[in-house]
Amino acid sequence: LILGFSLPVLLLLVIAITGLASSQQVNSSFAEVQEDSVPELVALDELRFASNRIAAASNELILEGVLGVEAGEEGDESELAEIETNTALYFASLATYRAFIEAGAEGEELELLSQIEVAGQELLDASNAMVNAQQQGASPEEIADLREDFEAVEDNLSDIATEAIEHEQEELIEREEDVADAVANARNIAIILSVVAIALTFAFALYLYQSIANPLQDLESTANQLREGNLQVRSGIQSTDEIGRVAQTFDTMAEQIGKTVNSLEEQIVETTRAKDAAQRSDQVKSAFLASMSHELRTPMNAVINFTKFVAKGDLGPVNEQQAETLEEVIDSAKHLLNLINDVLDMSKIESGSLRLFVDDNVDISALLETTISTGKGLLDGRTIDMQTDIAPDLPTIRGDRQRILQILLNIMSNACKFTDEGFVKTKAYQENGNVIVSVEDTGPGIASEDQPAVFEPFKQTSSGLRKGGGTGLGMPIAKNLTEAHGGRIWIESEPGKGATFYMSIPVRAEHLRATTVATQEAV
Amino acid sequence: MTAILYVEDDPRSRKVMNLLLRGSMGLSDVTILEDSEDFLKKVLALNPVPEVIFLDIHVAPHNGFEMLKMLKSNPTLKDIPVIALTASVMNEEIDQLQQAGFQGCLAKPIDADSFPEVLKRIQAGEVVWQIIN
Repeated sequence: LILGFSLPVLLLLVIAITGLASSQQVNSSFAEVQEDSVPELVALDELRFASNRIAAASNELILEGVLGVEAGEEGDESELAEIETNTALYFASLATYRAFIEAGAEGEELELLSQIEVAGQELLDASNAMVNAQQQGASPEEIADLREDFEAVEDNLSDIATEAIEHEQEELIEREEDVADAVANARNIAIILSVVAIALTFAFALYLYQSIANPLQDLESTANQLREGNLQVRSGIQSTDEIGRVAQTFDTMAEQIGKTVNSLEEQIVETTRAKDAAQRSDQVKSAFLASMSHELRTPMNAVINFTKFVAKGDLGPVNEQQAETLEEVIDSAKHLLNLINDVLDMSKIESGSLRLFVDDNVDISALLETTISTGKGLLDGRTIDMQTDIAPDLPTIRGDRQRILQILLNIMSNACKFTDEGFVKTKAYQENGNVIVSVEDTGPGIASEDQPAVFEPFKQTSSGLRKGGGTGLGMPIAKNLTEAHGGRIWIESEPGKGATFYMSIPVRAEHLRATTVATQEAV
Repeated sequence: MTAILYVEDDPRSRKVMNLLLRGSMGLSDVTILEDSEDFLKKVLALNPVPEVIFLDIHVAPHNGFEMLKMLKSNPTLKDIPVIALTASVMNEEIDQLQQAGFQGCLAKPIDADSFPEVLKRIQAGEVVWQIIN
């Protein structure tokens, strides 16, 4: 580009130098004209003037003699002095003229010079002859003859001098024409150079436009294609100028973007693959749970029901001891089924596949009745006062009937299992849009540091383990189910002072929508 | 007397229901099929027409859903209540049963004690989902 911009500057410099040279040529031509022609003309003019003066003085002298005028010695002498002076002037002029002619020798001019010399000598000779004749007192006839000769010579010289002057004037005109030509030449050269300079400048501007605008347009279109997602596109501009460097930087950047995008795409593919694998793993887990549920429940159907038919005497008489033993089998089988249910429920919760079957009108009072009656059945002869304080105006709530019953049964069975004497008190009331159920017992109580573990799966408290019942999953399941209903569950307890479990569930949980009008039945 | 049809591939489950329906409840119009071969033909041949149909889901060659579809697309059988009697009672499976158009589901193990009452409610047109034991 620097090279490009310096080109027009150089061109303008050439034009300036050429113009200067032309003007100098014109000046020197003028000087030549002045030095050559003007002094020559002056010398010739003086020469002609001197010869005229000689001729005039000579004539005067002769005329005085012819007319017989006695002018005396003084008159004659004045004419003679005039002749002498002008003769000197004549020779001086002639010498000057000769000097110029010989300097720039030209055939025609030399010829004229010699003619002038000859004619001038003849004039001087004729003048001398006339003066001598006059002074020697020649007859008028003789003088008239001499005068006739003199006039002829005089005319001759005058003609030659005039001719020389005319020649010099012609030369002057020629030289002036030369000067005019030189001026015209200089002007023409200036015009041509200017035109050439303009053309070159225009061509160069065009070149610059091509070399700047074209690559920029290419770069712009490349950038647009890149923006539209064509990551393979490159400007491909290889020049080493500023634009070339920008283009190469752009290409490098495009390369980097391409690499980054590719790496991101690879990561997305990998992430998607990992996500798919996780989903497949979830599906496998879910399918495994479903299959396990099915495979465990099918034999339990036979175990429980066949035992029941035998115990009831449907297949023949059984004695009391046998019937009792068979009932133990049934209870154990049901307990095993509960364990299975708990494990499966926990797996469902942990894999996030638990689904609520929401009913808009769950009668919580009825569920509490079932719960308390189930609790009484768990006492096995212990004398525990089952107290109730159920508000009469409990609303029906939105939720999964089976799951809410499951929560209440878990809380109740806990209280009944761990209480040896005293009471289990069930309270239920409505408060701030929630139904709150509390179950208070007079059992051993739970130390505050052990309380969080109650709601964590597979973390039974030491007393819980000693009691030997359950899976340790009942309360964690109850907690998850309560939270799935938008509610919460918590304990208030001190060791030795019993425990109170609370369940709070919104009457109308906004995130729940009735999924079915079906009735679910507990067994 | 209530006419009952039950389709079940597991022999022990068939025996449980046989003892329950014929033994405990003393029903005589009980048909128990061990597969779904020529299912519709066999159902249409039944006399009397069953009043309640219990279907296991994992049955060959046509599973419970396909049998339900056959029943529901037959004009003479489409109004008979069809109950799933299955050990597959995970929530997703319950969802599929509800969407397929079963009028209820009894989970295995069957609760023999409450079954007579449940059957009455089904006959009365109630939809019964007994899925937690």
